[in-house]
Amino acid sequence: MLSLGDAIFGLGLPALVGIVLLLVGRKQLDTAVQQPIFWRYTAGGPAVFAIGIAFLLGCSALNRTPSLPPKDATDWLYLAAMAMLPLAAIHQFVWRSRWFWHVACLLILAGAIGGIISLLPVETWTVAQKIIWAGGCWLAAAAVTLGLSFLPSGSNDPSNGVVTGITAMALVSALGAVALAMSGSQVYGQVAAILPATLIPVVLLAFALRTTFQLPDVAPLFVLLFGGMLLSGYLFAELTAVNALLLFFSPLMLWVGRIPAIRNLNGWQRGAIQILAVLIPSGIAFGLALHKFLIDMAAAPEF
Amino acid sequence: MRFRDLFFIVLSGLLVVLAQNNAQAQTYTIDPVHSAALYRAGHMGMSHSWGRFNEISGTVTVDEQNQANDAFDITINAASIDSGAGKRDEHLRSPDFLNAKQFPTITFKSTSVKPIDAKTLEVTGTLTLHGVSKPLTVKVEKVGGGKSQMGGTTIGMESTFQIKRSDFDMKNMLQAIPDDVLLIVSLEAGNK
Repeated sequence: MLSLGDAIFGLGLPALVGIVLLLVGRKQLDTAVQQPIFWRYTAGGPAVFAIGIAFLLGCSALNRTPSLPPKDATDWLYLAAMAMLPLAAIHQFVWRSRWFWHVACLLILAGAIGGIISLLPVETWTVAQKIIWAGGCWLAAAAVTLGLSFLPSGSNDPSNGVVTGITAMALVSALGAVALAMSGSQVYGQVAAILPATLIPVVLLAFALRTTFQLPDVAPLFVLLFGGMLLSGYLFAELTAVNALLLFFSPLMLWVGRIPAIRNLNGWQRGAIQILAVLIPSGIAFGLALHKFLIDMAAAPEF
Repeated sequence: MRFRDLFFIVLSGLLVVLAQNNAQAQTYTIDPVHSAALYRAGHMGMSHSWGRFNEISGTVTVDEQNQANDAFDITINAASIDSGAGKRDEHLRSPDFLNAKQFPTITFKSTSVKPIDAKTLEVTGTLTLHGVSKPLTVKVEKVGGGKSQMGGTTIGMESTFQIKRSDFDMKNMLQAIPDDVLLIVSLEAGNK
């Protein structure tokens, strides 16, 4: 159960961190380039730090700081997020190389996935099975990371695909956190809720302050934290494979914005269709988890 | 004395020695149907909540001549927890508590046994729960034993002890479900 302290420090504090970093770190768009109609600022780098630092603070507030060696799946995610932040700093301030950022993040993803799968007991998982699973999960994570990072967007478009992208991330992560909490582990649900607790205020503020985001910067960390929690929920809690896959791949539905008939629509219309496309699979997953949860609760009360 | 007589004398002597050695330490296999592992946990300071683990296995070694040679090797399937409510069992198996998919077994392996009196043993060993191993000393009561109707010999033992779940890294919901958990392990073991 979420205590008042958990809600304030585990969710409220990450939200505050996200807001502060967005306000402090956003940069005015270059007026030498064609001025966007709607957007005035950009905040790709701050969004990475906001999500990463907020996650670390939220985990610490929920007493989920990792032990060494890591003994829990969330320990691996914590350490991987810690590893990603210095790389984000290098990427933002020293070497603005997209390939460096993605290669480094994919390596960290591999480490985190391998670490989570290494926790599976030897009594029921052979080494070969673990390797195959780790490889498959990494490929899926790489596909979603690159799929989100290379999503085209028009910077002079009022809706701006990248804001649609981060909005989709916020909504999907919220649905995922609730689905996780209903799938046997309240702790995993609480940890997963740190992500939407950070993203939702950031997205709302972004619209209010006309700030857009660089999705390639944000995507790897989102995939690490959101995908990592879904993997943990499937392996160690009762999140079903169907729900995990629907939630994890739903952000790729943003690519419907590239369909010619939709691409030619007004920016806000296109953004709305993209969000709806993302919400369909994630909503189905949420609905399935809710349905099972309600049936189980009707059968017998919880604690 | 003929060679044949000498042979039979030596053979008889060997058989007697072997019989004595066998009588010193007998290993009994735990009968899961007639054994039980129960737990009692508090519920919000209002009542106690009872449950059991349905799958228990292992061996008990008994040395009638020297009880210090007794040994206990018990394994419980963590996922077999049964509190009488399916959703609660799912929660108890989750990473919030036992994390049964990551730590599928609860084990106790004795390292030393000290007889207290004719019916009681003090058993020291290592309890491994939730991936954490801690030394544990418990008093074990010898309930009974004898020839089994199924053949072989059966023994019965029981122990009641308390642990703190936070000692085993289970620190979730300590306000709702207190740290102290009472455990009752009742074993019936046989050999054939």
